[in-house]
Amino acid sequence: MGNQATVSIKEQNKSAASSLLKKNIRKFLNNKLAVLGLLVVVIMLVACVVGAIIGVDFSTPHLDQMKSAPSGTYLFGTDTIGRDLLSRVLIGGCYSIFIGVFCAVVSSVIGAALGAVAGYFGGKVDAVIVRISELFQAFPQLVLVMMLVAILNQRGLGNLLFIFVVTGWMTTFRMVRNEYMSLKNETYVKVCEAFGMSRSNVMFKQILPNVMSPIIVSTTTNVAYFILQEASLSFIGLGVQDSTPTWGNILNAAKSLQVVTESWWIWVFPGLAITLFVLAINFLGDGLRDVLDAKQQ
Amino acid sequence: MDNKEIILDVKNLCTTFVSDQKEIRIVKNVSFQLKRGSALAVVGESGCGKSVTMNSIMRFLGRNARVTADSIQYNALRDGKVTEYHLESIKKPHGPEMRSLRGPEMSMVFQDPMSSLNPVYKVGDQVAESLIQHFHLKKAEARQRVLEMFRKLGIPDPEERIDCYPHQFSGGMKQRVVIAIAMICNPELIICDEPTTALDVTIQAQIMELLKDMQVKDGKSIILITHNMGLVAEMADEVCVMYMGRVVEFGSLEDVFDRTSHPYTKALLRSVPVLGLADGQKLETIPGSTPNPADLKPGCEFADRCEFACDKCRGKDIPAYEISPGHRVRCVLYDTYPRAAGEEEVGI
Amino acid sequence: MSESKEMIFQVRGLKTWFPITKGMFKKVVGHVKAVDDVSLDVYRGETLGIVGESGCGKSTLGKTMMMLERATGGQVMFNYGGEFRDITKFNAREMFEFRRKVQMVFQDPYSALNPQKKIYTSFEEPLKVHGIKSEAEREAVMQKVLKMVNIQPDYLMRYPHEFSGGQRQRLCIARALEVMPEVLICDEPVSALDVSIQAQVLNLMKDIQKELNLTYLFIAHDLSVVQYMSDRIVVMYLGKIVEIADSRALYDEPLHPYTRALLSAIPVPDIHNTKKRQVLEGEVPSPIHKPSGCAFHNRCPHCMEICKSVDPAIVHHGAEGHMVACHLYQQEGAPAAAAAEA
Repeated sequence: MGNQATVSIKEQNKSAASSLLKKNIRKFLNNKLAVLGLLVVVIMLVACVVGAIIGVDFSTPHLDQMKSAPSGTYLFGTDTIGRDLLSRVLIGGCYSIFIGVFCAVVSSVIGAALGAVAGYFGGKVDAVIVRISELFQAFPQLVLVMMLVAILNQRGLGNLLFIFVVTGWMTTFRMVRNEYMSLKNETYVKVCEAFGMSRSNVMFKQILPNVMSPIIVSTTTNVAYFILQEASLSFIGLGVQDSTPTWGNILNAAKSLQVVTESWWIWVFPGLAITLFVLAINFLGDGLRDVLDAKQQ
Repeated sequence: MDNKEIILDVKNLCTTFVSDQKEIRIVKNVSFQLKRGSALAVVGESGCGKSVTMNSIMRFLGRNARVTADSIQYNALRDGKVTEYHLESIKKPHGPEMRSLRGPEMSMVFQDPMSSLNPVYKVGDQVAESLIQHFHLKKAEARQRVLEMFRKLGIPDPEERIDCYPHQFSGGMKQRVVIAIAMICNPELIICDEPTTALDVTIQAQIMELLKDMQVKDGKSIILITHNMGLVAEMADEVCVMYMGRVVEFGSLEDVFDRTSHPYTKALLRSVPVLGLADGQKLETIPGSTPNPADLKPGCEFADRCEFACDKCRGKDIPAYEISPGHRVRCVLYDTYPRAAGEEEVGI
Repeated sequence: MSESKEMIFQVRGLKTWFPITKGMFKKVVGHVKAVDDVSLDVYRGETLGIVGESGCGKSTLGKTMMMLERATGGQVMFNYGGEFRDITKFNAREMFEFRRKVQMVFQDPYSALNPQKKIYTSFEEPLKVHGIKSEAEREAVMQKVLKMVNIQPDYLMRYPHEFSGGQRQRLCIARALEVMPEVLICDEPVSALDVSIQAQVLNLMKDIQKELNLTYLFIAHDLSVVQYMSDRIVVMYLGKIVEIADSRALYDEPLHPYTRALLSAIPVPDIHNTKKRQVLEGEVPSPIHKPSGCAFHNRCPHCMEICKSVDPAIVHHGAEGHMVACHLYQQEGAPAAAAAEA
């Protein structure tokens, strides 16, 4: 017994350490739908990134090849001004996924930080932050977009990112706040306070790991949500600039009835990409929820 | 003894839960008889299967539970005539046959009065519900019956309280309302699953007084599930001690308290602090902790924590021995005594 | 232990009130007087039991005595090597230092360990916070406290859900001991445990107390457990102390009618016990609307006119150190007291 003190307990018992991670991975692999989702997400992501790296040509219009149907040269066909639709879908994927992931992560961080503060401190701080979140929730996204376009007099990626983040953090905020309100009464939090640990330590080092799993799950589903938002805003022409391809922007070209009825490939492929990706993300989120939700274990 | 005297006769009840494709035996070969008008206490620690046993009898368990038994016989006595019900052969746990028994014949009081009542309905309506369901009474008649029951159970100002919502009641009063729900259809058998664990001692004393009254004055049969040996001593006529899904000792109150035979029962009685212990007197402890039912070794479940454990205890299941009429002990220390009835053919 | 008793805690007129607020502007409409004017002394090396029904303020008293709840009024004096200092007036720095003197063991061992962290991390953090920089030193402390509670050091690398309730409570005790406190406040430490495990934990706590000359404040609702553990017992009812006595004296000759009722309400696992149980009428009133005068008067079998209007002060009666707050004992040998004894 005595000589054990010289060897670190940590080192000595590496093998005895519990393999929570392994168990979770096994659990995830059991969920076939989630694995499929992950696979689809990864494949699409890789395809888009590879497309961007090898620099496929998405912007040169081939005026002689306008609205040509899918063929050997143009796998997905070309759009209304003769640009290669496959490369546009690939590059558009990069933008769309970036918008989705960036907005989801940033809004989650903001929501989680504010939720932690509001939930843990409660009282007046909580009341103020909740009122602010309600204010943002009541503000129509569409009007906000129009306002920004009017003020800056231009459409752009920056606008969209800003608006999505500003209007998107409330759901995470509410969830994290509720979690904190119940978790702060857990005994282990009281124990930490009894040891005199600082509030930021308790808030972020002790409680946060227990809220992490719902945050991760909601972030994944938010990615899908923002991609859909971007698509609809771009479709009605309030999204990113026309020169930047996103899945929504590509769809924008299919606004006229003639295109919809005669050139199906212009809206089917980007539409399919959006559907597939969003569906896969949602499956993935469901799978993560099963694995991470401690209450189900 | 004939059917008139025995109200509930359980033989070889086994309950198995399936989780993650593994079968876990929670209740193993439980047999007992309950005499009409008497009180049986089922004692054991959490996880010993005492609640699952009762839920198996009431058929309250979910789909992942498999209940088998040689017999679960309930003898209803109506106008001097006995009707036998074989609960183990009733196919649908929520079918009309089982439902017609729950309420008018047997009912249950649960541990937590806070969550046993529906917060959005008035308590009076909740009590009247089963009257309307089983006896098709009119609302006004049902209300009169509820008021009577409230008066009987000592709920003050029944006329006002009947129209209150559960959150307006204290814990003890809520438990009275829960008992009123269980009693309103005048059942013969009341199963109380830790009815006072969530309550204070002075309130516990009140509730216990109430239950004792029901047994002595109204001749009800009571099964009291508890872990508190003190309550057993005050309430029970017969005691059934359970450990890890088995009945380890069964006998009359005197058998179990004065002629305590199973090492687990002995240890349990000696390890609970009693008022007025002499200064410096130390409590005896039971070493180790309750094993996980998923990875139990064959043989006596208590062997690893028992001071008398020997080779005979391990390897195969221990039958119950009848050391005096009605006093059964599941321990090899008593293997010179005859085996209890129904224990010969017990296999795995 | 030395004969002369050294005081470690001196509580004077302690009040912990929680405001009840209503409406949008959080107007204070009343107070829950969880702890209302409590005075008591705690001596070094003893176990002081605090007993009462739910809502009597025993847990709040424990939490206020280590400033996990803010006191509304009164003093809590702590003995700093002979000098008494009022911890209710401590600043953040002093409070942090005080955390090493008094630690707490909580009721629910199932939620007292962070489920997301290995036991090792949960054990390491308090030591890090309290300035033990080197890992070797921290591990030496961990080894020491784990040995006290009979848990093998390699269990540290596991997660809390792999332990049984009894083991978890032992881990919690060990963690509280890491900072070498002088006082351990135990808030219902065994009520969430199985009966067969309770005795293990209680005996372990007794052994540790002897080894370290710890002072325990043992809070529980179960009088038989408190009586087993404690040298002296404080009985609380609705935020006030109704009786303080030596453990034995409280059992042999309880004075306050509430203490008597409490003792008689406890079921005794002895079938030859012929004691007639005295069942108290009614319920504990809400601490928001306390009855006037003596808070117990509406349930008291010996209620007199004076009880309805005058709150009895706590006075010495009988043996040394035996104090009671009841009008029956306000004057030594009063006829009322004699009548009640009969």
